[in-house]
Amino acid sequence: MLFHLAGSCVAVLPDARYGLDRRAWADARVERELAVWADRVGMTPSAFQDRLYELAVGYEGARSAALAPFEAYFRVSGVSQNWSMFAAGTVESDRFGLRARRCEDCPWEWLYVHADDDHAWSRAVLGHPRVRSAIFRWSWPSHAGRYERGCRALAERVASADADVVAVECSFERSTLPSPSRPDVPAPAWGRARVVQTRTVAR
Amino acid sequence: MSGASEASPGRWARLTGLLVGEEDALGLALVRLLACATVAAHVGRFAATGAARFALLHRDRGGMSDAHGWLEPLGGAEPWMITLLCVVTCLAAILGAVGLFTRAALVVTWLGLRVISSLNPEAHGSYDGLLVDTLFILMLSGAGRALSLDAWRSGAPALAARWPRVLLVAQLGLLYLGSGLHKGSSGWVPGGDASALWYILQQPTWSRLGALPLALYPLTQVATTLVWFFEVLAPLFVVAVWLRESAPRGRALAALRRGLEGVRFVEVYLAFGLAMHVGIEAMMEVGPFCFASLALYPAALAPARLRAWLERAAGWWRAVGARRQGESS
Repeated sequence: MLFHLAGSCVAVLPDARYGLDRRAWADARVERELAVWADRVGMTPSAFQDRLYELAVGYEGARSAALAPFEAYFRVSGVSQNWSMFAAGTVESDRFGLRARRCEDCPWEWLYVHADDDHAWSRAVLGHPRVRSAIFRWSWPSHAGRYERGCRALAERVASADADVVAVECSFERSTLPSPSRPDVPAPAWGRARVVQTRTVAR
Repeated sequence: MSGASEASPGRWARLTGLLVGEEDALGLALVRLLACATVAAHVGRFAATGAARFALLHRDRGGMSDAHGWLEPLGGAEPWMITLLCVVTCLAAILGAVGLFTRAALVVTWLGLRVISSLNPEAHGSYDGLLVDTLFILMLSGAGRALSLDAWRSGAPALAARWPRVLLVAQLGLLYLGSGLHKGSSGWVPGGDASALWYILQQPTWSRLGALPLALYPLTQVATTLVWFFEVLAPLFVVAVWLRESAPRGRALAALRRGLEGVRFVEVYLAFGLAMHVGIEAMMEVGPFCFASLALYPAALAPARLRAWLERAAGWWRAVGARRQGESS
């Protein structure tokens, strides 16, 4: 019991491995946060990022060493203590959308836009918390590969429901949320589109 | 040196005194009931909507997963396996909730949830980890010795070892502390603009409400700071529960206990947590996380206190019923 408790107390320390992927640091949401902290500690953003990376590597090494004696126990018991939930509120936010077309020159038709009652194709599936959770991760640069593969899986799902569809597009709508200090914000814009030709998807 | 070694057994015994011994299983049973009901409802919905087949199947078989997880030795998941897995997990969770073949049901629920989580590491939430952690402790405990068909059938005294309940309290503290340690962004940490919840509550992926009026911004700033303090104060909450249920001899610990009891720290902490989770559930769609967290709350109250609360609530309920009946007649 004390072993469980001791291991859990070590495991609750934040896991910095995902943060060490510096591709994610290029995202506007992370850039903004890093700039705030760089300003607070009086460093240039790039110097701050390098210093932070060094610190994070050292911290992660120490954390992994402390966790090593408990790893086998955690693997068997399934116990984990990684509670990374809403670590930051970001000015920019993303909304997922899916559209399809029936010929090369046909217009795109929206099938699904998250939280949009007018475009709710397969909402019970795409809106399920577990599927949403996966899609939410795709919006980050470090998950680009998964986004590609996930979009292919969605295209296959669309194609199997409607044989006339020739292409499916996944994209994210980037919005900037207003606040009292920034009441006027740019209009939302769709981007990061991935197009999958459904005829090339194995059915 | 010799004085320290003589004092050690006494201190150790006092420190571990809370862990040994048996007590009324009511608290554990309530955690079991709530955790299993949460799993049953969540997995049942996951399967019924068809989301499980899409989320958990490998993309070679029409799903969205990159992994075969624990089903790799079987050649990966087939659609019927996903359905069977969800049905078995859901049924086991229902048996766990009603307390029939409780330990076996808890083991199967724990295993089922682990297999589900392994099949697509992307399609998961913190609720998976929390429920697995909770079920692991429950399945080693005597959680079936109260509020269960097993207890009703056996008619045996409803006593269970105390240590699993203590571990569940620690789990609750670790959950909030871990969450607080991750909240190191400028929008969360006091001294910043306390804007975190303003943006999080409007995140399109999770929000139920959509855009909030700017007039609510100050309210979200207050809530942001309160939530941050609530989470990082979790170790004090665990200490408060421990001090309440033990008899600290040291002057400092006794004073701390008096102070915490004086402000009813445990009750205030739990009440704030309850309000926070209800608020999150009302404003955001984050899966079963709120229910998985609240399932742990009964563990924080000693069974005698919990029983007194429940009896008071039942008395109040009966009085309301009697008054209504009197008015209608």
